[in-house]
Amino acid sequence: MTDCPSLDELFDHVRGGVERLPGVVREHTASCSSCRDSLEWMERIIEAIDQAPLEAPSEGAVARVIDLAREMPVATRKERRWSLARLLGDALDQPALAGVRGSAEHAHRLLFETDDGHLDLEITPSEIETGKCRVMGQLLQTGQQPIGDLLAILWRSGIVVSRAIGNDVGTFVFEAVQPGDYKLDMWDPSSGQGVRIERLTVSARGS
Amino acid sequence: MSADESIVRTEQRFQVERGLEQLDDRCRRLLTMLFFSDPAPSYDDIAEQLGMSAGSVGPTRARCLAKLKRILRGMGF
Repeated sequence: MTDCPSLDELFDHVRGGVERLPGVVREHTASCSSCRDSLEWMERIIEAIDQAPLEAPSEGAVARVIDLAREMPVATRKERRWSLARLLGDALDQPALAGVRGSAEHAHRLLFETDDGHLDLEITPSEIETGKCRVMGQLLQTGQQPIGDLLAILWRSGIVVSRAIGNDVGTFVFEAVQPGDYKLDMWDPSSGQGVRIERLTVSARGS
Repeated sequence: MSADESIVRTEQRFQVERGLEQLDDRCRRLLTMLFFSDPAPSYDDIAEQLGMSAGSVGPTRARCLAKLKRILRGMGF
């Protein structure tokens, strides 16, 4: 009986193409559920790390995904629901907003509504790089429940320019963001729920 | 690639990167070199950059992959 190949052996085999698996290993893997599981996992890893540069789907494709997602009655791990965040308030247009929740003096605050909660964004001049901005957000479900451990992705012209991971209270931060127009995606990997801001203008008061 | 596939791949890529972030420094550096360097670095290159012997790169790599697998499995990957 052939011994189980190690993960690094499988990595080399998969990197070189599964067809390069030596026959004896291939036969073993076909009959060993543990090795088959490791091989499939390794193939997903290779597929994921070869996904670079990350590219945004087209506008039409995103709209179609959103339409399809809205038809899904229940979100499971394999199903993904998208919703678009709708702007409720902008501190530059409505100065009264700027004073809520102890915002910084030069903060540009934006409040968005999502399908089942809301998103607060605070954009302030960067303390790291002059002329750039710090974007801090918090995604909350109805009842002020934070969505922890989310993934936030900042896109510009179809390219991922920055990524951030939220903390356990749903707060994420992008440091040193060039002023301009972006798309912002926020993902909750555990539920498959995603929220997108189609157009986010990054500029800070006084910056 | 469809938009749906692109989104799934993006999420998978993020999960792998998050998994790497949870590794100890040596494993993170080793697997980052292994995964994202093109062409793949030789054992000698890895050994030099990580300050280890070339002979220990293979076993270390196997242990690091096993750690990453445990972490990513815990994340549902």
